[in-house]
Amino acid sequence: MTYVPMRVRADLAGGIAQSAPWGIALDGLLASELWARAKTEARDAGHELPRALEQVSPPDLPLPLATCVTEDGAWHWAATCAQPDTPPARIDVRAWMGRVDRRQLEQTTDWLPKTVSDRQGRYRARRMPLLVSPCLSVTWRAIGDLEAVRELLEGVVSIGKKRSSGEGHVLRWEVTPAPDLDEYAAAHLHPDGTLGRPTPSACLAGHDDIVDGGLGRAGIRPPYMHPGRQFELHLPALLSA
Amino acid sequence: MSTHPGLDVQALQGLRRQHRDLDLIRTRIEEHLDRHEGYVAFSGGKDSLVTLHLAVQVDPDVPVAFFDSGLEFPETYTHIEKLANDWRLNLDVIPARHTTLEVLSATGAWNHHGARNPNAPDLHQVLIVEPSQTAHAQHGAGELWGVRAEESRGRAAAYANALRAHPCSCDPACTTTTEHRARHGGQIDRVNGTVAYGPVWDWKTPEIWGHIARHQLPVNPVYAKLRQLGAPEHFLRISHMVDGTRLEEGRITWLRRGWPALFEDLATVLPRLREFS
Repeated sequence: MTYVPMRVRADLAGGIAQSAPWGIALDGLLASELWARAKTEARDAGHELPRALEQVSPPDLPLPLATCVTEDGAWHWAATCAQPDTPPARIDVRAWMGRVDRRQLEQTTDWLPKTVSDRQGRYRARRMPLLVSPCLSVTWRAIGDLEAVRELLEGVVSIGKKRSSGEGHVLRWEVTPAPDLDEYAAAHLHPDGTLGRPTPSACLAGHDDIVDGGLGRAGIRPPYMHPGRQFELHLPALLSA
Repeated sequence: MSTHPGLDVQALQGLRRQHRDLDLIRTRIEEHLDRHEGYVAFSGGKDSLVTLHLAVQVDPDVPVAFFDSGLEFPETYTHIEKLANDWRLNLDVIPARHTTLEVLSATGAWNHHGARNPNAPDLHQVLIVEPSQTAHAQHGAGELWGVRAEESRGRAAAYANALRAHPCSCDPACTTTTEHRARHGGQIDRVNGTVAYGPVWDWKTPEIWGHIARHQLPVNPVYAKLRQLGAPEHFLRISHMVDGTRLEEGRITWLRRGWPALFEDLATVLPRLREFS
């Protein structure tokens, strides 16, 4: 594989819904696609893969991306999170509602209590805000293999939350080389120069002027929510900043 | 495209005529403190700010009790500290026996694989009952608070029941409902002998913001942050960051968007928090 700095752009139908205050990570998208393929292959072979989140040490999938390794051995994929093409502070607040369907519950268990309250407890009805960044495209930067990244993304038709409701629908993927980008910017920074991914402090040595989202606990690489991947990192610049 | 900044809605609210008889409210505060002594319960929110503002006009040295749940927004702590200095408040910070996070974690309900702990402390007991007992023991049976009827049905019912329990003994007697509410409303006599009075008990939210704008009171910066994030008006309430209420309305969504580092720290201890973000 030949790794080069690249720009990845997703043209969107109307915007992207997400609850985290920064965009979706490109390495997370690629990993989820690879993981889905691995699960399908395993199922075809007659067995199930254990959930990555339930493994003590989840596998690092072979993403077609370069890696950035710090002096202390921590590493992350050379790719940023998405940045909307509109001013990132603009957010549309919509709403989604959810109510447990008792008949559906009956299909999932052989015993149900007499009543499943929709006013309290885990199955309470919800009327939640849905935070949408209205935009026509989002952009990532990365260092990786153009063809392999393109091939993986072709299968991704929507991104973000509430995809089944039409949010985050992708009209077109565009993966282009970016010879104008130096490797550091391609692996860490948004187009506006702010920090574009959860980043160890070691990566920011000598780059004190980069605007970030503060220090906080975050995943360093996929699977991002696995406790073993969570470290104290510099957070990406916030969408609402 | 116009670059004119437009009109400041909050400033406009401050220009509206004040319909409340503030002299009467201050008189009632004075009578309450004379009769029961006590303290102002201050949470750092807008309602208790207005209550505090009215109370210190009556008695600048009135004790101000802040019940610290250990899980307030960072801005709230800074705001209260600054307000205490600027207004020279007689501030009494009363920390909870257990922090909110300790109590929530101890229940086991926030962990996907944890067993429920029936012996976990009760959050209301730890955060409200015990600190208020401490405050009453130190300062007297009275309490001035910013609780408003508009905030919930329960609070509206409590005030309505209390008003019914206070027949008019004025001379001359109150002749209208409005007069009766103004002279006798807002006071709740508890069975333990303590008495709470809410000077803004029947105020509407715009009246609260109007009072704040009119007197240019310093507001907790959490409000501005929530507004900037797009939180609706009914979500502009200040209390501890997490408990079991209003989760299904998106309380954690705003927390995650506005305070991502804090959210991640909390989600490490309370993993099921993510289900509500």
